[in-house]
Amino acid sequence: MKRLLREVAAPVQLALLALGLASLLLLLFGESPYHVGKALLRGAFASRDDLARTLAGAVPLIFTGLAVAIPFRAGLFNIGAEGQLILAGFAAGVTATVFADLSPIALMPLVMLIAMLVAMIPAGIAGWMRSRIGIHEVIATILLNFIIYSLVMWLLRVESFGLMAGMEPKTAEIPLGIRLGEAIPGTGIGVALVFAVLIAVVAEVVLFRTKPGLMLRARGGNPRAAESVGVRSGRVILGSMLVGGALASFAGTQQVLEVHHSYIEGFSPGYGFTGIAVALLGANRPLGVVLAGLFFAVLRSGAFAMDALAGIPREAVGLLEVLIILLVASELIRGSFRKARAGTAGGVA
Amino acid sequence: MILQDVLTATIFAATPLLLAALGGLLSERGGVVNIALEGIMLFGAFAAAAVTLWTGSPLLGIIAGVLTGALVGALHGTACIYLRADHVISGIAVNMFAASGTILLLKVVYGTKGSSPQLGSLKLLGVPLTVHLAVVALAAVPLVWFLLYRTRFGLRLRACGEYPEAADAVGINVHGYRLAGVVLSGVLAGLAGVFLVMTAGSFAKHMSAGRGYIALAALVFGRWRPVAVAIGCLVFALGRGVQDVLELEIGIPPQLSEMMPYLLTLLVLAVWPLIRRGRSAEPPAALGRPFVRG
Repeated sequence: MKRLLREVAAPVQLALLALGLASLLLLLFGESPYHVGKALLRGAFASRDDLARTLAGAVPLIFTGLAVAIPFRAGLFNIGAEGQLILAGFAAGVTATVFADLSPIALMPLVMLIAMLVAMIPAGIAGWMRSRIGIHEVIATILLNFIIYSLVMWLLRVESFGLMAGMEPKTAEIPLGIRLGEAIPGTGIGVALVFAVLIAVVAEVVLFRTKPGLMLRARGGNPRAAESVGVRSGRVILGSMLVGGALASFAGTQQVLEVHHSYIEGFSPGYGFTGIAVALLGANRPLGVVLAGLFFAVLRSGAFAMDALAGIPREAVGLLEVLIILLVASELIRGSFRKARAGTAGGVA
Repeated sequence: MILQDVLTATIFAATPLLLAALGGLLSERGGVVNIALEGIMLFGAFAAAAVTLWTGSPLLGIIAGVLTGALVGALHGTACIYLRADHVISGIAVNMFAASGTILLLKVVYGTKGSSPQLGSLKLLGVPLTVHLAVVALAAVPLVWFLLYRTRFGLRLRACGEYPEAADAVGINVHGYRLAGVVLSGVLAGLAGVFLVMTAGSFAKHMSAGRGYIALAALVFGRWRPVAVAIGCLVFALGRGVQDVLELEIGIPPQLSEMMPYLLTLLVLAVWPLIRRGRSAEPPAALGRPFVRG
């Protein structure tokens, strides 16, 4: 119990520190942190619709947070979650419309599976390049992101995949039967959120209670020591990146099945990159990622109201994410966070 | 004709890569991983556009871009060296800071979402500034080589990147030299950002478009040696040179040809080590390792 408290204390302190620094900045610009905060919270929680939007907004952040956190535990940076989730979202949209005649019970798993497999391709390429050639995964995943952006933009303009209705090109609407709704009616808690929490629990158990999880953490903690006791580094690298790709795919699939009901170009406001902040604030623990995902979802969801009611540009929320990343990254500020840091020093580009 | 077009496009595409990669070289030979090149470019580009618009003088704009680059470099350096932040995380934070920060600045300063107003004439002595900067980038290759291998500063910087304890033992200020390396990389990457603005004629969000990462790929390809890194930049720039030809002459859809620079870089990175087997990349020995005076 005491240990748990201590583990929770550090991220909470960091989040408070970041919010404190942000308030100071607001004061510096002559704005009242109280009013800005109130507008933000009102935007996130005022009505049942707002609450539902906030909770649904946490889902992609939890998944991208996990997609960054799991490889991070193995000492790897999956900066490719953004590309992976875009590819998955597109694959989900196309699969759902191509096989629209299937019964929803068969179609739903098929959509999720195909989206997952497709997202695992770029993640796997980056993992392979890291383990076989030693190309740092940050470079490979970023290059793959740009390749995916162009590829999906092009595919969406190929007639059989996309429609050019309105401003943004998109795929056709998915069948009604596989659209996700609320898990408990009237609460705003969606099926996808329940699924996300379940996945996080599974990830927590696998990471801390199973042999593959131990091997993954061993390689992240000290690659050489892990190899000397028989952990095969190459397999862990490839495996953890593939898992990262699969986790990122759920973010893209959720956006299609729950939020937009088709793949729309530009649907992700950088979920994959916010995932980095989510993972770091969540101390790279799956259950911590759930809480951090909810925290960032409140900020993002309230940002529109903050913009409208208090006149603070909503892009300012992005700066708070950066602030948190920097605070977590700085060893001297972090102190008790040291445990969570994986061995990333070796062979960096 | 096509060949000439490709060549011109390649040289101009190589200019920002050369500047950023040579900057990254100075940072990483000193031991500090510089993923932040992308964000430094973006901040340098914005500063150059803003000051040019404000003063009407592109020269002042260039100076502002370079100084901003140095400042952001110093920020990344301070986080890595003095706060002992993880170099990769700090670099990514700088890049995210630059991406959202410049969009925020566009909104606050110009009230626009995508790009700044046009900058007007960008010529010096009747020649476009981009040409001057391309010449500077090419000249920087031998200059950086000379700095690294023929000066006392270069020798000491490399010592800090290979074996900081030994450097410290002979009285070298490891933290100071490392910071100098990162600040110099900020100067060069800032200049790369200036070049992008001078080419486009205005600042646009996300205009660095992954060039900082391609410059890092050139560092790996050239195994942290100036001339080989420069060759890497030219090879990767060929992707952009070919891009225009594919689009305009052959009629490949723009969405597909935009992929070329990234695809080419990735393929070269994947295939090159297979061709020259046995000689894998050798980063500076102490790259990414914080130095704590013991």
